[in-house]
Amino acid sequence: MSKELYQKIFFLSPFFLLMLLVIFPLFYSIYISFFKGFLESFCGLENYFYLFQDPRFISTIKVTLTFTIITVTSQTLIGLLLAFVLLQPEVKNKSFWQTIFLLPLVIPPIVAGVMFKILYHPSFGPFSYLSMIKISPPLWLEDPNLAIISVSLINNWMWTPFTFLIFYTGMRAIPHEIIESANLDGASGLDILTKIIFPYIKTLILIAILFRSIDNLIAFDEIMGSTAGGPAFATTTFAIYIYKLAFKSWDLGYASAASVILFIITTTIAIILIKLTYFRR
Amino acid sequence: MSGEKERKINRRNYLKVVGGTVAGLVIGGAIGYLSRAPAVERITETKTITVTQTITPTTITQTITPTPTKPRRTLKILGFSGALGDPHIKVFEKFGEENNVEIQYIRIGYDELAEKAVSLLEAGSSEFDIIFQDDPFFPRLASKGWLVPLDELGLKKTADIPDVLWDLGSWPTPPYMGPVPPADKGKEPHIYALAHAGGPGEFYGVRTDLLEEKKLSIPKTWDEALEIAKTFYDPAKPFYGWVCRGIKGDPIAFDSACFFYDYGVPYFFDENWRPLFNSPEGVEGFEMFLKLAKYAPPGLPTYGCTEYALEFVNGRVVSGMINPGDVVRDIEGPGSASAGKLLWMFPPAGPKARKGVLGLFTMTVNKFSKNIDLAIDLLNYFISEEGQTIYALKGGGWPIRRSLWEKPEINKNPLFKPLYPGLMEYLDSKPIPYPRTTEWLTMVDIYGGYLNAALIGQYTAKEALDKAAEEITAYLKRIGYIKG
Amino acid sequence: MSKIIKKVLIYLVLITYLIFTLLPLYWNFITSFKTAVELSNIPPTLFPLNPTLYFYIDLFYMRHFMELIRNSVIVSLGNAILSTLIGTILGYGISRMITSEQSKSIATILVILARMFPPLIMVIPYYIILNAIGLINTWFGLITVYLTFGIPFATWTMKGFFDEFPSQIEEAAFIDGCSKFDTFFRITLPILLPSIFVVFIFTFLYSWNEFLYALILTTTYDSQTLTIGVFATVSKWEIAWSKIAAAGIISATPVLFFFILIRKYLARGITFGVIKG
Repeated sequence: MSKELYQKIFFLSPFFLLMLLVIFPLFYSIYISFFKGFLESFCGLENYFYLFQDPRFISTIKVTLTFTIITVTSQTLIGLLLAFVLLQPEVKNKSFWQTIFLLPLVIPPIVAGVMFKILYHPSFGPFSYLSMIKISPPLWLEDPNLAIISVSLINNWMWTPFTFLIFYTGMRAIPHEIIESANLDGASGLDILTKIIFPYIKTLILIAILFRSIDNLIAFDEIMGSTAGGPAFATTTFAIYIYKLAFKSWDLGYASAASVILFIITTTIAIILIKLTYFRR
Repeated sequence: MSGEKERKINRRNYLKVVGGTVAGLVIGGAIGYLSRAPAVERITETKTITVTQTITPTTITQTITPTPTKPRRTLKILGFSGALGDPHIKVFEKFGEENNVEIQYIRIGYDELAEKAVSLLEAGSSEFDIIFQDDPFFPRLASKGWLVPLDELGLKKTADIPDVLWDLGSWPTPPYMGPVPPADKGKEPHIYALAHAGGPGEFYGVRTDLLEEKKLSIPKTWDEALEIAKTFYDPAKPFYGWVCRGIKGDPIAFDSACFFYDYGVPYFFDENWRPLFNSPEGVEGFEMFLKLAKYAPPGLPTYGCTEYALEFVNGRVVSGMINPGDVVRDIEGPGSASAGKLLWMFPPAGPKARKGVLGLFTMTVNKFSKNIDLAIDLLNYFISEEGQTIYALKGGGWPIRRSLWEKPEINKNPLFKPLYPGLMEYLDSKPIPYPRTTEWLTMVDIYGGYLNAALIGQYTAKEALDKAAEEITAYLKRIGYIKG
Repeated sequence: MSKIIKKVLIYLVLITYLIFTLLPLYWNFITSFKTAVELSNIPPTLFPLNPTLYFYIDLFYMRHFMELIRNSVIVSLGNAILSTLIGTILGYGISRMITSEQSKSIATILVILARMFPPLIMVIPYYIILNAIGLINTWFGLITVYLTFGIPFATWTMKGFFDEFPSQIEEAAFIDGCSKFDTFFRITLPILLPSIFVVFIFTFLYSWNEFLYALILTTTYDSQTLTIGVFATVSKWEIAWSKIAAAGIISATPVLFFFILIRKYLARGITFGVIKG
């Protein structure tokens, strides 16, 4: 064997290790989903059959989609806004702001969930000061309609720094001369924004949406820490439901079936977004 | 030529690198693999430091290996992590000291313990001698014959311990505790578990000082309790009439359970596992619970133990459902507005009955254990007067022997004083445990979710209970509990 | 737009977001020092008036806290070391050794997809497999599972760094007679050491904060990581807030420490693989 091949094998062999660690369990997961309970009795596609009739399953899809759309949209928009604002020349000491804004990224999500739970409390949290001025504090985690927003807020708190960072670094890479010459040519701020900056960051936006969507479809830690599925079932996302099925009811077959479906959904979205992002240029 | 030499060196480098990496990974892997022996918690010596802010002393553990004298036997116990498993440590220690036994007290999380017990015993493992189980779970183990019948092998049943604890630990449970799975119906009951901690259930607590101010008497029925809640409800102050746990799932299910019994529901399921809680009586009972909830502070549907305890400490609530767990130390502690003023009461009566709900941790003995005699000795020691005294005074858990409650050191202790005689009354009333099935964990998630939905006003009481019954029945059909 | 108005608007946005970011952290901080009695104040005190270290002391003397920290350190370090090592090698391979543009993209995509096998979906088969092999509740088992997100991340990030690294330097060395290995170890790697360090820190942090795998795959004190262990010991029947807050602060502190360390590289670390793709 040539030395070239040796080197190639050496450098690329971990790839196969990785695939083994990941692909095999995935197929095993599909295998598990054909059984009832903890690999107890074979039942073929019965789990999937029940799953599609399960009202809880349907509602978790709704909740998950709502959650994902709210969070991804707001994180992208706010991240853009923050990045844009921070880049303005009027802001001194940019690195100070950057550091502070990135803080939430280092807090474990479960801790963030519990932190917000305490924060949201209408009587023992800071919102109870509203009652001193005769406004009744919002029932963040009690009102089922509000609960989704409250939980989305936690997710936003944690992950907007991420989108912000992508846009900030990306926008900073835009060469100054282009903007300056446009300014000199008399282009308005809005024009610069749409005609120059936007094309540059279009890809970034898609990337941000890609990452955040995939991550939020399976968001678990912060929801578990704050509402554990919410008032009634209002914040029971896919992830929470699968967790409960698998490790509270120990109905691993049924839970595996649900996770296989989840995997199909996330991979589809990922492929669509990747195609848009990486194969456009 | 230098080129050839270089190539030789390069090949050597290459081999070095590859060899090094591979060796590194292999060694790392080996170390990792070898270090996977389960850790062992050796109980030897402890020191106590007292912190002035709370009543219970905190402990520092130092591991000191005892000087070996003669061959020691070892007793391995699998228990719960968390504060509920702490009081036992002192008792185990003392027993180990006195009998020259090494005790290994390994503690894992609540969910894992239920499953781990099954996988261990199914494999016939003799690894653990004593295994803790929450009461809904030991029946499964007893049914399969994996547990030692304690009454036959020397556990000293005594009347000093309320009957209901012996009943709860029996399998099959006596009829007043609800239906048992059909496979276990005709069996001769034996005691397979020692029920002793983590409950016993939900008490009704009321501020007697406030009642006196308004010349009201202690409520005997839920209607009277409702009146009290209404009288004191004044959101402008703010002051509230009622508090309890409202979180979906087990919390609200447990706190509202006695209402169902008090209004005439005998058990939650009948013998064929068809729901009984959505009967008209059940609906009425739950509606009373919801009526009381109207006088609660905002946010009740998100209230857990922490929140209701804080409400009592703050002092802006007059009554509620409370549990004699660690919160006693805070509610009755210095600085609490309710300290010394709260009556811990066996809940008031409904129109049809006066019952409480029962839930306790138990200790069981593994049938495959090689130290059954020693395990039974430990259990006997645990329930003995000496053992229970240590459990209470040094460990902080409430003792299960009636006679101990009369003793001054227990009676005067602020940790225990409020609980007596309410606790004994509660236990003597023969409270009813959760349905005797391991599927209850899943079912309570559905059931409690709908209870919470009714609490926040999404459904009426009847709708919520009917929906819960429907979904639970569908689930039971899917897993084969109910045929057709 | 008038300069002043612009400045006001800018700082309005920044300060609002600053408050939004810091408020939860501050609240968590003060909660950890409040006694139960103080917690019961309505409205809550904005600053602990009777601060106590009780909950911190209790956590540290809690028999297992040190063990939990030890477990977290071992598992995070193990994952970081292995992932960085393997990721660097693999990243270099993808960057340099596959020359055709397509196979490069495919390899990249496959690595991305590997990242999209999230813990939630993989935890069930992992649980059963590890249980069967006997690797439940072991550091080795948990590290192996963590590798499934550590290696892809490290690979992808390093690949990004390698892509940026001008190949001219390597080619010069190659012409001078160094083999590919030599150039890799003697020239490329030393220059990219800071990047490798960044990747190392990131994988460490990611493992430290990881929750789901650790929750399911480890249940005993000798293997549970910090994030899980503390929440598992809070019982249902106590006032939990101060204890949880203190635990949160403790588990966030080392992360914060590293965060300050690699502040400068943060942007590159998070976004490098992302932007250059």
